[in-house]
Amino acid sequence: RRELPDGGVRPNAAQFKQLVVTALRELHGEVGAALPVDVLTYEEKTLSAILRVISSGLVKLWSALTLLGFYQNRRCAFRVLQTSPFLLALSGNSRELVL
Amino acid sequence: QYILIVCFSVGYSAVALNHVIDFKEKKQEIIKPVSPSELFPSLPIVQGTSKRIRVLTRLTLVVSDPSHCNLLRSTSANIRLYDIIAVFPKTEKLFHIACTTLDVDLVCINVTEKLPFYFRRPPVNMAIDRGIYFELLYTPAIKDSTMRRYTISNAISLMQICKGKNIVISSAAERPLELRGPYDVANLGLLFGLSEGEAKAAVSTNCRATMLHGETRKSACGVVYTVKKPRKVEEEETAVPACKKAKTQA
Repeated sequence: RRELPDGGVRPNAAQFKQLVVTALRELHGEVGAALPVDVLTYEEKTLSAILRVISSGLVKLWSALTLLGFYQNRRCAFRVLQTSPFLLALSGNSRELVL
Repeated sequence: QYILIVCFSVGYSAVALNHVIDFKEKKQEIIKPVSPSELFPSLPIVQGTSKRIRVLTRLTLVVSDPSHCNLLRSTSANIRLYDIIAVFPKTEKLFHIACTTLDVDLVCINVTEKLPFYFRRPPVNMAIDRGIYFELLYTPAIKDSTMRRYTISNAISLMQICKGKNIVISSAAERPLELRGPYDVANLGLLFGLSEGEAKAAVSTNCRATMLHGETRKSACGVVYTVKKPRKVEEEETAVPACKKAKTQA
């Protein structure tokens, strides 16, 4: 799950996907941009999304998102909230799990 | 800079990190013995793990001349008030001196331009033995794509020499939007060539070890000034490995 705190511009879903692909291309080139990434959900209100990627591509995607600095000449920051191989795990915060 | 602290606390409490509990405040001075920074009257904000953020003070010396190193010895009254001291050498000779004889905690590695010198193994190994850590900044990688290339190339060359030990990754962020969470930064360590365990350590345990190193350095200075306290130094020094052991066990 990723959250995108922004300066004021709000991308819609297609622009968000474009942003992710641009980030991959900037860091890892054409090979990175060719990495199949799916946007599963996207909330425009909170600017948060759930992305899906093949596990071998996690490091590339994550590093590309971390190092992205600009979106339409405005500063932006990706904040990765959670990563997990299971969709169900994203609904809870496993750090605060009390057994 | 006051705004920075507030923004940092807000940002990190949102990430709810468990590893990086302490936080460093960087005050940069160039060759001037400045009066030490007033400890910011910032409110320690409770985090998700119900611990407060610690704000430490840190001093970075940009040295391009061996005479600058004398500052470390002469103005020790000011320097003692900083928790962590870092040095930023600009020539190979200074790098060698910093690794082997200077009394610092961190050696900053320049990431914004092509390194004018290559790392050699002997000073790096001596620095590792002495407990000095090498620091890499990741904020230029966010700002500019040329600096990104230099960051990665310098980081990789450092990794090849030091085999991934004693690395600390930190941000020289000037705005809250340039900050990244601890797991993101650990992932960047993977990019630089660290292994996964090392990358995580670069953000958490190595930082804590640097802090402890700074504390021991402070207490050792205490011995020089007041001869009456050799026991205190012993306590501090035995306390430090105990802390480190507790940290690695926990």
